[in-house]
Amino acid sequence: MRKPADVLKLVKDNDIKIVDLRFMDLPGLWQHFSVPTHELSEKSFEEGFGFDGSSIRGFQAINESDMLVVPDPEGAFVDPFTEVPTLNIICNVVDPVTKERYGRDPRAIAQKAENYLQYTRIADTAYFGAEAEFFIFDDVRFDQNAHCGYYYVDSVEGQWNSGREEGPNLGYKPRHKEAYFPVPPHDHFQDLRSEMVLNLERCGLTVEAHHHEVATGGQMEIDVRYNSLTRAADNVTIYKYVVKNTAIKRGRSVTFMPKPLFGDNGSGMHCHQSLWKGGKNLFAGEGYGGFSEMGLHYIGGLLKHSAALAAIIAPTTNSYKRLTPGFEAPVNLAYSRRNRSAAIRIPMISTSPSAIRLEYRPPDPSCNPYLAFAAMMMAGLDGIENRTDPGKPLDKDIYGLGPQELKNIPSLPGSLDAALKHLEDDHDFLLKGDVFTEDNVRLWIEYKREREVNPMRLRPHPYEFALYYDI
Amino acid sequence: MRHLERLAASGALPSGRDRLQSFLTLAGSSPYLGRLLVQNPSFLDTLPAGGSARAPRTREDLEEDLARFLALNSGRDPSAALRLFKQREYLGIALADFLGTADLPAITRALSLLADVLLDKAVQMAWAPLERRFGAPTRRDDQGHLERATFAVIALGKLGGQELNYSSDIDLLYLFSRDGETSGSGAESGGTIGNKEFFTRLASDVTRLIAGRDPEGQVFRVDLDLRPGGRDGELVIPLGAAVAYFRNWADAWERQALIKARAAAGSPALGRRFIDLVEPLVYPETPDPFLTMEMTAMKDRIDARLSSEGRSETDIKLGRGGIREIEFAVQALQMLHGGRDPWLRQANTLLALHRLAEKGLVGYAEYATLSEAYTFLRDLEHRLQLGHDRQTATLPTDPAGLRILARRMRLGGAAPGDETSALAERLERHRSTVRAFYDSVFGRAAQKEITEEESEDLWVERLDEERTLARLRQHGLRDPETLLRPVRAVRRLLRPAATTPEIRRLLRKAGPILLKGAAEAVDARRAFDNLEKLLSAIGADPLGLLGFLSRREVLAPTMRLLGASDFLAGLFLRQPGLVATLGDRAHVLRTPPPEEYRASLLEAAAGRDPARAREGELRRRHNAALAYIAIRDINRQATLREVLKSLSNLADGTLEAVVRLAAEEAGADEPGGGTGPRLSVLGLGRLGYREMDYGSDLDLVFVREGGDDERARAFARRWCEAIVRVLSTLSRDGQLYKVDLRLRPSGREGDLVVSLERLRDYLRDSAEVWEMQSFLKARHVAGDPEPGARAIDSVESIVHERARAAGAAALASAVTGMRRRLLQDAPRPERRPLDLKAREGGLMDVHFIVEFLQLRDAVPNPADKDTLRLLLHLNAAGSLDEEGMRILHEGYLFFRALDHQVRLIHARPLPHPAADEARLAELARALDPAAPADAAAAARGLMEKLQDHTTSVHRVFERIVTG
Repeated sequence: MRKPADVLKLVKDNDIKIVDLRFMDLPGLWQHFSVPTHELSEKSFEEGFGFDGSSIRGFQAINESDMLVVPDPEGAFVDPFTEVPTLNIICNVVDPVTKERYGRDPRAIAQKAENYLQYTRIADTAYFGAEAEFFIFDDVRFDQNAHCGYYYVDSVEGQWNSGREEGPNLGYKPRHKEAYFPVPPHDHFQDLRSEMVLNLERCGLTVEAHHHEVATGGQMEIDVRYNSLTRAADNVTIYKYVVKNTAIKRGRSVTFMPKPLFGDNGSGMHCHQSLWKGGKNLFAGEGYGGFSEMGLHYIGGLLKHSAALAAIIAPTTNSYKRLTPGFEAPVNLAYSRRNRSAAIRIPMISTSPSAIRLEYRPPDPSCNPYLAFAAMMMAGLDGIENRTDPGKPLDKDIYGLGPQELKNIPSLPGSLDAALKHLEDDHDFLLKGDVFTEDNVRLWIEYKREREVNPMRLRPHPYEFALYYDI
Repeated sequence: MRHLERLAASGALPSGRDRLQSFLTLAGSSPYLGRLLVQNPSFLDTLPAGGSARAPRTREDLEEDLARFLALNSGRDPSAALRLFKQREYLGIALADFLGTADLPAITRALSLLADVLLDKAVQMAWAPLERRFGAPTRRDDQGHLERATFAVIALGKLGGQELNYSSDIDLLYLFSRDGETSGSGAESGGTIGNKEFFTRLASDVTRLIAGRDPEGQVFRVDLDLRPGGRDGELVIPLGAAVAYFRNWADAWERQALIKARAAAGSPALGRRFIDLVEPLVYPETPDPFLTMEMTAMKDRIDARLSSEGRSETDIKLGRGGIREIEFAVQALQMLHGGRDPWLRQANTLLALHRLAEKGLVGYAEYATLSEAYTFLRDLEHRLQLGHDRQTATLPTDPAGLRILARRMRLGGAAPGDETSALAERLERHRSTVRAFYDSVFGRAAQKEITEEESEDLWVERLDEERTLARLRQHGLRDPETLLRPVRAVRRLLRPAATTPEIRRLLRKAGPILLKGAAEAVDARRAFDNLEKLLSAIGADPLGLLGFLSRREVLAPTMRLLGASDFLAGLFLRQPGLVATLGDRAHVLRTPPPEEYRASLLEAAAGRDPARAREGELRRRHNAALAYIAIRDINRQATLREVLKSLSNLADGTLEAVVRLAAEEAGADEPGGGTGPRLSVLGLGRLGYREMDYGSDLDLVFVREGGDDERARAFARRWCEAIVRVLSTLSRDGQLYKVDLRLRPSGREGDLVVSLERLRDYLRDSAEVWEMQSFLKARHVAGDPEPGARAIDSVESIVHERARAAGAAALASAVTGMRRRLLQDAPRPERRPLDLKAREGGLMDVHFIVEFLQLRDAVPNPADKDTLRLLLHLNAAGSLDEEGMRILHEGYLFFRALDHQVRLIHARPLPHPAADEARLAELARALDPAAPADAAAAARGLMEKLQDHTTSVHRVFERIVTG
């Protein structure tokens, strides 16, 4: 446990001039403001810093706007990008009057979920390991108005550029779905990814591997070591920050949007999960895939609530362009050891009890990791508490299944709108122990509908012109 | 002869030969009776001439006689008068005894009848003055009708069996019908008190009248140790709680003692009802397989004690072949067969023995020798006791003492000059008869157990599905298929530990008890599911399992509790140590007075440990107190109202402890800190009304007085921030309370702590009607009571002042407007069929009606306000008509009870899909034991009832508020 004094020492040792305070808004974008170092003292870690919360998405109404952020000493790291030596600190949002944790702060929800886990005595730690995929583009442009609309992304390694005059074009643009993972010169971004990894490690994250991903046009993955729920969500946040900024420094642009390219894989954020108690992995047992009964119930809970979870773990309209049945997307609510098309995969890489975990594949990096991790764990816990039977594992390839058999396997909702409806109907599992409140759920659904689903509805799509212009 | 001399000296020599004869018989047989006659020579006049047998006295005859006697002795202390009457009657009975004109059963019946009549009189004598002072004890039934509460004295032991000895204690149990309160309209009005208090006073007065000692002695020695909870149980207990105790907590021997239960005095109807309700517990349809084992174990303990004291041979009651062995054997046979054959349910030992013979369970020849032996032993016991009116069953060891005893047994004629050896010979013969009978009854049973024990163990061995099911069925578990999963899971948790022989041994003993407890639970499946969770929580600590299994006495109650409530199971698994404390039943059963919560929690908050450690201790004690409340609740030891009051007292105590802990954390000790503001914590909402339930929020408003400089204000703010933090932190030990601070002046935007002046100003100038409604419920809960009292006083008067100024129409429209808004925001009833708060005709409507009427008619709060009291109060004040009061009263009770059961059983609201037929039926049965056995019918009944109540309440709302 790092103490305020340790943070102050960090400031001194690194000759820090600026302290940057960070917290997450509701949809999952990191927010910040800075104070000069002399404003930071031990007292700051109790009294916090004031800011106006009225313009933060999903926070207070205008008439009750004053908020506090209180730095969490555990969340301090030196920024690897700024010219002025800057210390970033992840903060908790707090009500300025009662000093209670602010109920709409996503990080507070993640922390409540961890407390609730301990409170149930089922386990003391939930470990999450997230593999967020992303694209590196050279150029990105988009616009839409009353009379036109388009997007345009480009990448030096995009298959579509094999015929472009690049003076000279040196080739080696990976074919669609074949970029996993030939060595350079196919892979154009080895050094950039390595630089990202080094930056990540400077920020305190442990990286296990980095590699090119399946899609052409620069799809990448860097694997960060698992951590306990809130810390793992902090790490996803730091990860996105570091990856984006390293690329920008090198004149490239990274996106975590789930499905930026038509005709190739989207970016997921597979989440490895396990519950531990007293240093023992509770998912290890004698059942299927080396799983314990508790582990299978956790799977049962995840599968049972997946339709509702979708609204939180795949929370954008774009998410459902990735989660399309029939295109290798993990939309079928089943689990399997080998089959990478089921929503849950049980990795077979190691049989050691400590390595037993499940990989939940529907999430994508457009989610708010604090909310997503908390919600997934609550679904799993609900499965444990109600002993939800996960059904039989699916070891046949789902794509090989005849339509008859497939009919019996439920699948994820096909749109954000449908997912929100499921969440509306099934969210009691989130409310246990007041981890999520009715207010959180209602606000989320309202926000997503009003700010994302409905605006999308209003806009014609370019492909609609292809389909219907001549009708 | 010494007595005759003394009598002569006093100049009251009996005139007439008959009387002299009687005197000599009595005084010669018993020095005690002789002394009595010397003290009260007039008693000789009442003895029947020549000691000739009269027809046994009837109850009416005896009652009349007693009334006359008391009238004649009205100058005496009432207790002494009762005693004198008893002594007078004793002489008559003893005379018939010594003259051989009445046999043993007749004598003991006469003695028992006398005790009944005296007890009944004592109840009447004690009742009258109490009713004059507090009014008659009443209760409102579920329909809101008033009825009188009643009181009964249940006799157990010898008095229960109508086999009282001259010097026996009388074993009693006091009951009253139901909780409620007195009418308060007595002639010397002492105000209204709770029924419990009324009957506690009554019971202790009765006990004082009967057992109170003066130098001349007492009427009877009274033994109340067989009451629920034993020596530490409450003196008097409502019928429902008593029955629940015997169902859920009582040890086998306590249930066995109920064989002899008999309504002896007070309300015969109430007494009869008690007997009817406990009978199925004493005589279960399928007899308890461990019954004989437990009885043998107890007898073995008695034997061990006697032999250590060297009394095995001399004690004719408890020793080998003594009275206790006949009684145990007879009772064992009764309990084994009485479930199927009601004819065997008989309190009197001799009669029971006769009936066992009639049913062929005892041979007729055996019956004859046994009843002779029993009569002989009881006779002998009588003679021993009459010697000096002393309770003894030990034979004298000196030859002279034995000779006198033998002579009193009138054995002299049988063996002239050698009475002592004749006595010894007869005694030995009877004892060996008894011993043989006892061994034959218990030996058979013991044999059966041994085979049981050697068979495969469900928890240790790997039984296949077939045999596991068979074993579960054998223990009376219904639908064993549904239990396979949790049973296997439990087995999996136990097996790693079962590798040590110690644990295996424990498991063999504990295993069947777990199954038995589950079979008795409301829901065996829930019991095993929760056991699994509990064991996996304990599992982390290997000694924990050993500790759990070795407390065999708590295993069955634990299983029953785990099967009844997920809420309680949650507390257990967070604090498995609580399970061990269930052994201390007295502690579990007692409803502690409010000060006790306070004292215990304050102690946890004080001390030198670091604040974090003290917070932890506070949470643990809070959990423990919650668990005890839930246990009493599940076992129906407490009424809903008592449970809610207890939870509120617990909240009060917790808050006080937190206020002190927080003061320290906020730096009260620092210079300038402690001298600042005086802080009062006001409770609103359910806390204000003392209607806290499991999981209720605390609605708090912090008020300070003084300390207006910036430094003191900052301290007050830190103080309250710390209070909120300690209360609402969710730690491993759980969360004390959720805190809701939105009712403070200006709501979310307002300061956390307001000064008293600011509170007054706010209520006077800016508060809206709904805020005024909320503040009507305000109560000082913790902190400094003086500013608290000032705050409450001024709040109430300001609110009424403003309501008057606003006028009825404006109030009505504000109340309906607010209600509409809340209803709009509430979850749809289809989604939450059991959410009773914000729905048309639900709890909120009842509260809104009450608050509206209070504001409209400026009705001040009664002392100790709560919803039900306010309904009565508004009715008395003329604001609420009788019908409205009845509907709201009924509806409110129903809603509260239903909501409460959901919280208790499921620990959280039941959303739509979970509120299935089975769960609704369980709730229906929890609310009303008479609900239909068919699940569909019970569920439908519940939902219809809910619908009826909401419709009626809604109508009242429309009529009164909407107008």
